[in-house]
Amino acid sequence: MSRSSDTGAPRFLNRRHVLAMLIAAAVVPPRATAAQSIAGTRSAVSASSLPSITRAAVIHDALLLLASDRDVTGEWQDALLPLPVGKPFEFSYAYGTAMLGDDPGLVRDVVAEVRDGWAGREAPFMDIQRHKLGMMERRFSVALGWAANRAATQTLFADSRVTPALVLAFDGEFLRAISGVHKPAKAETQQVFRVLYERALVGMHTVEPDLDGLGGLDIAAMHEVKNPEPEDVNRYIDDYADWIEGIDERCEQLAAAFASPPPRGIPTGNGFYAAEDAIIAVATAIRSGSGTAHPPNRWVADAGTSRFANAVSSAYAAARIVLEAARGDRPVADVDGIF
Amino acid sequence: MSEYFCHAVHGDDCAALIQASTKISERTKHVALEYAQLMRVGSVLRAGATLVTPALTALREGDDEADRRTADRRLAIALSQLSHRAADGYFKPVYRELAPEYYDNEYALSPSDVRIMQDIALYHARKHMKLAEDDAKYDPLVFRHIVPLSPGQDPGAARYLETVFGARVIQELLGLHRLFPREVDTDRKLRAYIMALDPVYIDTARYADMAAQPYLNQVQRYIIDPNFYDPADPYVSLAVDIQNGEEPEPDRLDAAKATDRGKLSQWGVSLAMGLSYMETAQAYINGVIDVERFQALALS
Repeated sequence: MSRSSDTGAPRFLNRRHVLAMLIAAAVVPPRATAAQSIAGTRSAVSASSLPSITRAAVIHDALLLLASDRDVTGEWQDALLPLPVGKPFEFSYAYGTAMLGDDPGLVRDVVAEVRDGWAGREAPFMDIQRHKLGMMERRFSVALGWAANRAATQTLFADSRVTPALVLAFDGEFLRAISGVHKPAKAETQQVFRVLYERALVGMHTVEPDLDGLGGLDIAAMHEVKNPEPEDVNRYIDDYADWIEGIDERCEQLAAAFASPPPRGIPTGNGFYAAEDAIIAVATAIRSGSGTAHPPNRWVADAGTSRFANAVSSAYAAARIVLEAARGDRPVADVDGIF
Repeated sequence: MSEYFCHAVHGDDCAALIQASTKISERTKHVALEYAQLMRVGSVLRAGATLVTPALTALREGDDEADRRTADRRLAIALSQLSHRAADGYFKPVYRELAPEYYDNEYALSPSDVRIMQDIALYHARKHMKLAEDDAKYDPLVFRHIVPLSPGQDPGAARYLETVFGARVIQELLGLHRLFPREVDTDRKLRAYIMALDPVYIDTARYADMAAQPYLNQVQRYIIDPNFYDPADPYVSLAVDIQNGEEPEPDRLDAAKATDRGKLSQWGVSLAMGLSYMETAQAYINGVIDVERFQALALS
């Protein structure tokens, strides 16, 4: 069932219909009652700190679509996509936005800041990611990611109590969907995941933090301290040691999720991820380099039937609202519809 | 030095060398072996004096607040930081000398080819050794262009998976922080978040390109001419032999220390610095030197 038949939206939409639908798509997960929507929001908050490949993929595809909108060009596209499409980590400011907490004021503040200050913003500067952006563009990119993350989480896990096991099961389903016809044994899969961890580390200059180096005070803010005390340092080191020692276990868990039948109650097969869904097919084409610029909101009304497609659609719609509000194309108050 | 692979190998080698040092306690030697993974991956943390001193001070003062395992893990991370600082301290001036062009243009903050080539050189030098058998960083797939999840997986899907897998790793690392105090305003919160992500930046395709077909002129310029790595270097050979199962012999380490620095490879000089930092740390733990002296010798 397509989103348009869910909402009863007309087949041919004018701009007002599209805007109304975008807000609805961002606020209410598919087939959710108002009460379920609130529950979904709560579960989204509790789920926000759980790392998820699937959620990252939804955010990735949603922002890839946004960056390919026909009216997202020049400096607006640069802000969203500072690295060439196809390079790793192109939305690195977006994937982890769940860690910024659940305060919608963050996005509202950034939207207002961009709306008022875009023309006079500071000159771009190069950072060690080779992002040649000013701080305003970076903050804007974070706000887009925050909105996409919020909508992605709500739609993906809309009808479930979110637990680590559930997030893992979704990742297993997603991995099966994109793995191709041949399904390798658990041990082989685990080895691949372990290699991917190593390659992720290779892809980093160094991991955080730099407690007493460049920008020390800003980084220290992430540790809830202004001047790091030994207990703050030790807390981080203990967490970091846990993270290192947990790499093999997390690979094993992912491999088990990949190899195991999905638990009852979660969408599976084409109900979870259908490569032929319009929005998934388009995102795949863009990733492969064969996509073309498309009209804004082109696939929102007809994203497809799978949970993943609907999540991408919601995440795209939420980010699109932030973009339009920041550019002055719609009222800032529309951003509240995302929440 | 700034890249993961070299730092991880440096941590491995320093952990091996201290096994042969008479200036290192049995507990510290045990920690370096028991928590080899922390020594290895811990070395990729951006080093700061703040991360090192508390763990060593707790051991020096016999602080029993933390349990033994916790204290040992903190010591392992601290040792890995000392390895990182030694490697950085030696190699960063080397990079400026070998590839000054990287510091005069807009790519100054990107890793120069010399750094990536050193990673690749170490990988090739050791990937068939016994020490590499159970170490994921020597997996044959580590420096490939594409790592498919299954033999028939579409290459585009494999790249996609790697991107979103890396995104999950970003989420995990950000999750180590206790975000955020309520009193921190949006502006500061965003600055902290953005700066925390800045370290993520190297395109692994550069590694794959060089691993598949190293540019011979750059091999000559960055690896051979400056004598980056020599298997016969006494520090290098000792570290490798210990990791391959030989007994750590203090006499061999003494001989390495007595070797004229001009006869060592660059890697050997850097390992000597790392070992020296760790022996200094041990002296601090033992109460032989005070914190100012320790920090002046190993953290300045």
